Amino acid sequence: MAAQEIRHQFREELRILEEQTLEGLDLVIQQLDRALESLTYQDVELAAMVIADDDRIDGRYLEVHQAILSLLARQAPVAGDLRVVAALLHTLRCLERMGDQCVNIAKLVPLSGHESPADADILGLIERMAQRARAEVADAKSAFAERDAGLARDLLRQDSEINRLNREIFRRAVDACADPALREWAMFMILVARCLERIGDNAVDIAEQVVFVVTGLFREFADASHGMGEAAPAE
Amino acid sequence: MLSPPNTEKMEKIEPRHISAMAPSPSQAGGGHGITVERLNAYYGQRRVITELSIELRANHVTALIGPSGSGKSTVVRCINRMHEEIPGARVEGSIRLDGVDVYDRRVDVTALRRLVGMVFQRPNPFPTMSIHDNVAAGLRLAGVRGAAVREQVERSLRAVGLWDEVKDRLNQAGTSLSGGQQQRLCIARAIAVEPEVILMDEPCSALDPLATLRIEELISELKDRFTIAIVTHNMQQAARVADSIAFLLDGRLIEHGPTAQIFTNPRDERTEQYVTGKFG
Repeated sequence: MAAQEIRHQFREELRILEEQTLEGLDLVIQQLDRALESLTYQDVELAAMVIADDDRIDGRYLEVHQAILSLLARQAPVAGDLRVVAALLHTLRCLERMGDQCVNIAKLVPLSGHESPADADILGLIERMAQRARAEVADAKSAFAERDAGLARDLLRQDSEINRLNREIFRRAVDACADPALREWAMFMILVARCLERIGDNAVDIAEQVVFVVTGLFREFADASHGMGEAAPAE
Repeated sequence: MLSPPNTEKMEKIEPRHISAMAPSPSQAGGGHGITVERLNAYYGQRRVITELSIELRANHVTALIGPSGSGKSTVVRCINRMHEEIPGARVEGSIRLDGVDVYDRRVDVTALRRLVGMVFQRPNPFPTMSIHDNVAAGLRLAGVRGAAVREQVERSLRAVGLWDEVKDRLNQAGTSLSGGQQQRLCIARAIAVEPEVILMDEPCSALDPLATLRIEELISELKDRFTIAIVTHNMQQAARVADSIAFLLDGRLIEHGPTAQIFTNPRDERTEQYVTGKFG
């Protein structure tokens, strides 16, 4: 087989693996939408479907992960191609975790009771937070597909809003705990907010990988040792 | 423009004097580096190397990569002054071994080529000589005699991992060995005279995969004692054995950097294109 033909096959294979990985983010968005709908309407059956369908995301993870290892072994990618492969492995892990967070939200639906949500304000904040998380996942996907480092870096700014909403929900839930009838529900909403906050963080992790692919340098946009929403100091 | 020296009437610089003339090696471990400055090489009127400057660090393996015709082998041949053996070939610029210009008119070319050993693409043991005598040939030319020859032959064969395989048949022809063994024999021959630098021009391209891996391991061991430059078309080999990679294109040095950096984040787009196989 001629050398150029091998490289063409390699490029096509890498393109397909990238496509499959990024389509996994579409699955995450679907799961997120359905998990929030199940929470909003206390739909236990829909929540059960979200839990069951996480197998699709897990299956995607396993299949693409194995294919990437095979590509590494056979084709020894280097330079920009190697960075893409490394970024895809990291992105796969992120999307698998985001899928798990959607499952965690869905699992809270039967626990939070069949009654209508007790605090409309808190639920409103949850919905806004979910919309932000959804947008971050979609932007992370676009940034990767377009190799858009600018869009990737913007996810840190977007994620600061999710973090703000998380803190707001926590404060309101603490206030709501003063009412014993609301207490348990409020605790569950804190957990839901935490799941959404983690989805946002995973989207930022993917964005960091985009910048790594484009520039060849890995920098955390922000880390836990700094104030919430602060960027890590530039080197 | 430098021309090949007339060594008949000049006071020659003997091999050890090159080291003695040079400033103390700046590298830890007392290694011997090569500095190439503004090298231009010609075949007649055709320039094949253009303004090439590179530092081959002491006790490092530098791999020269690039498409066919980029000048990799020519650079190597300039270092040990084999390029000038070709009719009509000439060089400009300087190549310094430990600060001494190898094109200095006082340099003894034969002595230089003991200090700068070379291993070629095809194993080339002396066909009429035994295994022992192949390794001993350079020593005898240098005036070594007796037990010292035998001891150095054994040391050299041990260094290349060949001693246990051939110790009971040292009198057999060097050509009776397998291809991989012959290449290790050639490396033993090169290191027997205690060079400072070893140049390798695609040393594994004629070998099977197992023999190739053995040579690569040997290269990693030898760099503790020698400065090594290796020309290779095999990207994965370069990645495995080299400390730094020099990418040549059309007779020019495009990029020279640490191996990990060249293969994860090359600075020049042409390097990226070449190592990822988009051309070459």
